[in-house]
Amino acid sequence: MAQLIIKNGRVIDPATGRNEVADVWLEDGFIKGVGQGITSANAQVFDATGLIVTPGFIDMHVHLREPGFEHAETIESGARAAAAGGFTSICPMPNTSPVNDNATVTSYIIDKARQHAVVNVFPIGAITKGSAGEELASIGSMKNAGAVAISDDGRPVMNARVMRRAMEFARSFNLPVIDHCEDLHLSAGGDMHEGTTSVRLGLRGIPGCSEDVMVARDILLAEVTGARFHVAHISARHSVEMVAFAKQRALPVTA
Amino acid sequence: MRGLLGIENLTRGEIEAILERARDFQPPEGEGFRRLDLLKGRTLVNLFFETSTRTRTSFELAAKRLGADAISIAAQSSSVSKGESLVDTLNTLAAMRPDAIIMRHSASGAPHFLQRHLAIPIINAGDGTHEHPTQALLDARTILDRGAKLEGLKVVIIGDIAHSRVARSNIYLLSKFGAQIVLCGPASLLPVELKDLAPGITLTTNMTEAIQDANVIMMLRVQLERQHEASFPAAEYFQFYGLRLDHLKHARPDVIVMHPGPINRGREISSEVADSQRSAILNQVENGISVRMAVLERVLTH
Repeated sequence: MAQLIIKNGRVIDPATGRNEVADVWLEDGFIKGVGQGITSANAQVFDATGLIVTPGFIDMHVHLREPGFEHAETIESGARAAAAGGFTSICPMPNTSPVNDNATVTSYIIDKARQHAVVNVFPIGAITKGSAGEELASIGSMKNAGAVAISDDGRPVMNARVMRRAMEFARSFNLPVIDHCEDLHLSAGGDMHEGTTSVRLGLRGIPGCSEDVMVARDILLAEVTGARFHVAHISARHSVEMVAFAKQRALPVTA
Repeated sequence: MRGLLGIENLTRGEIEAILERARDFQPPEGEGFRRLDLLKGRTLVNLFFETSTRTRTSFELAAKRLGADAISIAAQSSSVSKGESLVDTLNTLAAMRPDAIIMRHSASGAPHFLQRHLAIPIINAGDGTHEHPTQALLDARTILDRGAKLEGLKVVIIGDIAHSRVARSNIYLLSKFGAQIVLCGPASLLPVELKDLAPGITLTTNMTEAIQDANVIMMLRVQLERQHEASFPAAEYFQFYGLRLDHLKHARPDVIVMHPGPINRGREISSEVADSQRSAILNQVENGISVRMAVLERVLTH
């Protein structure tokens, strides 16, 4: 039995409310105990003095550049970067080349991750083919291949009818739908948040309502379809208020 | 003084010094400009990434009248069109050791960005929809020439305020001197945040109300070429925001009408107003040279 004691780190565990300097004792990769002054004759000891010890973080919105942009990053290097920051599970967005809009690409990512990645990789499939916003991607087969959600990443699904169909379909496969909420007509050409600073600098503004109207639309569609809906990187006040409203109505909406 | 990027960060004293010096460079009534040797042997580069006739010519003449050598480069004919980056283009020019670079660019903040990379002073001849400092300086010189003090003056700026670098520079300048500034235009071109730019600003979409008791009316060019979308119904623009003779009766009798040019007769200003005694449009053009002489001298010798 391989034993490991992580000594003297600041152990932060939200599940138990623990936040103190302590030792963590593991046996065969499972935590056997957390406490003060743990010793064991045949355990390997890792001195974590001055370090933080936490459960592995999950980043549900990352961009691995493989397949298609391996010169920038591979699944292997991206996974190592995640591990270096304390993340043990990551969900890569589908904006690769080709776009992860079918089971072949999903399987490719999962196989690569299995061989080379030091963390768990749970791919997110596309909502529409090529993330072009028109034709639904192969949602069911991506789910069967291991996709955990669908999203067109930075490209909002502008057509409400397409989004409605996607949500209906996603619901039947129990997949959450993640949308980058931005009405592209309202935000077109914008450089930065619309407000005093954009006016002062003479830069074209992106109004907060370009996010709000899409959040509102998607919440209403989620209610109609029963789909689980997640607002990616929410940033506007009214959007937050609307998510709170959706939660009050017990809709499966998160942000 | 290292370059001139905008009015926003100038002090009242610095502005006054330029305006005073510009007066020295104005030719006496009925005479031509005299050529001076104050900047003899100095080299200026006019780098225009956006087309311009009057500003570029005005800077060139200002340089020549001070004895400096000025060359003008239109970006369309330079290596910019071959895909060279902005920083590389400027570094190449800087390696030829000019004493200052006068630049106009369609992107707000472009000269500010470049000045962080270059030791050579940059004079902003208009950046996107941000600032056009020499225009505000020549406008102030023109108002002062007509005998007015800037303090307490009611100045109305009418038109596409949102996309106007002329408006921004004028707002900063006039506010520093305690003028009362009224901004007027179609609501879609008049963001409420304009009020926060400086003290003393009010906004209105009603032109008659704006002009009431005005000392100065500044018209802006309607830039249909900059309209990326239909922000207002173009067909009725003149009806609601075009300056006509009958508007002037609401203003002070000695009101000055200004326009940065080139004017669109019948679009934002009627011919009768543009050619009237109240119009200072050609005085603005003339003052452009003296003010730019003052700016060049200050940048290169202080």
